[in-house]
Amino acid sequence: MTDTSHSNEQSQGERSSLSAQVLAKIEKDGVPQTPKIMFTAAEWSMWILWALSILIGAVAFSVIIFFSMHAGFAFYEATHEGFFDFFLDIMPYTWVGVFIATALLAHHNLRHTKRGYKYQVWQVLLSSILLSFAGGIGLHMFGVGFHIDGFIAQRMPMFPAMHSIENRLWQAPLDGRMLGQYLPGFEEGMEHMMRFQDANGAVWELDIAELTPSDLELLITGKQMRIVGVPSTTAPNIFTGCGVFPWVMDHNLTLRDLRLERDHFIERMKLHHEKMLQMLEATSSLPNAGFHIACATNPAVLRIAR
Amino acid sequence: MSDEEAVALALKEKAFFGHIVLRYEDKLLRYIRRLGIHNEEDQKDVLQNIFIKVFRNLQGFDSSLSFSSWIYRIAHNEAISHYRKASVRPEGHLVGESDDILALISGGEASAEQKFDARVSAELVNKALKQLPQKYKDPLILRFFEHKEYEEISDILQIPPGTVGTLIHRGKHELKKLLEQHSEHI
Repeated sequence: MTDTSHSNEQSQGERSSLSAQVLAKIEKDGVPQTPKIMFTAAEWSMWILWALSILIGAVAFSVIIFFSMHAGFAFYEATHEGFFDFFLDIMPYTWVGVFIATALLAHHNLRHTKRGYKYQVWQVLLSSILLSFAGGIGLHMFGVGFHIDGFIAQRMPMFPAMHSIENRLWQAPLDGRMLGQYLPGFEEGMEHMMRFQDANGAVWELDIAELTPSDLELLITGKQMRIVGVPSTTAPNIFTGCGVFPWVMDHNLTLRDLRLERDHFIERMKLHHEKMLQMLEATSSLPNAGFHIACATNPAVLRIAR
Repeated sequence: MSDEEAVALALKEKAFFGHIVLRYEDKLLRYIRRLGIHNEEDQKDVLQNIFIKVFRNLQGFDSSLSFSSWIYRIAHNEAISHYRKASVRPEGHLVGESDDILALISGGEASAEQKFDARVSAELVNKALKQLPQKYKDPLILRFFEHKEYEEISDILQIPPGTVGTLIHRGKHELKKLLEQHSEHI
């Protein structure tokens, strides 16, 4: 039997009976009509969830920007063997995860609005990502990334916040890195030594013989600084400073700032290596105690020299 | 009376909903049959469920959409939900005019191809369509047997209009390949 003939078999009576059956069922079961407000609420909730996803995505992106700008790319030779190790170590996996999740959530919510299906997956995803990017840049400008990271670092010590990473990477005196600030006051007869308090509160005798005037200028501001150096192998709490770099987590950095920071670091580290080469050429023998070349053994100086 | 006017009346007075049922029951019956619901009892149940759902959601009908697209969307979703509940795979059984079938299989390309296409019976098209993935089958049925525009298909299947075009194009291509395979066996 063809479908056309099948269809013809349905009499007018049969057809109208379906209509009657449907109306009877509606009456008998008391089928309610979903109120319009429910549809409006559902539509609004999708839009609100979409906007929330974009906002959370923007916050995540602002923290990612903060990480990217302040992870210490300029000094990666001081903290890691190579750039790849550095990248894997400082990558803000949680925030990248949050960002991806919110982009997918935004996609899901927008697709479930009344007209969301009209757009291609890539259009919805791209627009959500771009909006989060734009929002993230805006929030970063207001320091939201920095404050959120600091807030989380204070309340959740286990969370890999930049503030904690910064401490882990730079508060490592035995590996030639310290984070902290200068304590005023010289000791008599020890003019090449300064007192320095690290991030853990320990006080060090900082040998400034290999520091430049600009390093010292930075140091005596009393602000938090990063110091690259060499710990003494003979006396505890003595640290030879090889370079002083400002701690700028609370400042917005531009790409130009990052480039300058990088150039400055390379230049400073190279200087120690060149100094050692010059000294070796001049003496053509092992250096004697009168020369200050401890910094040439700092891991960052060796890596850059390589 | 337009569909939208019928909806407005049905919203005021339940009895007018009967007009909507009368207006769409044949079309939707044909459609769900094409989607693969063969059993007469199942057809009745599915059809009744479709209209109950339409009634339940009538206040949510978005008048910026055509009512026809909206009711077809509900019918399509209900048919899918029927397959899921019954855990069966839909098997297309098309009811189409020979012109529909020709339009489906000929792309307006070569006349020799059209001559070949013309020899292809509806039965062959049915066989080939059964093997076609659902994602191609749905837009092809709507386009060539229900004579829906791309925009309407987009609203019914809730996919972007661009995707409708792509699926129809690819679907026809796949269908032609299957038809050629089948015709070789004749």
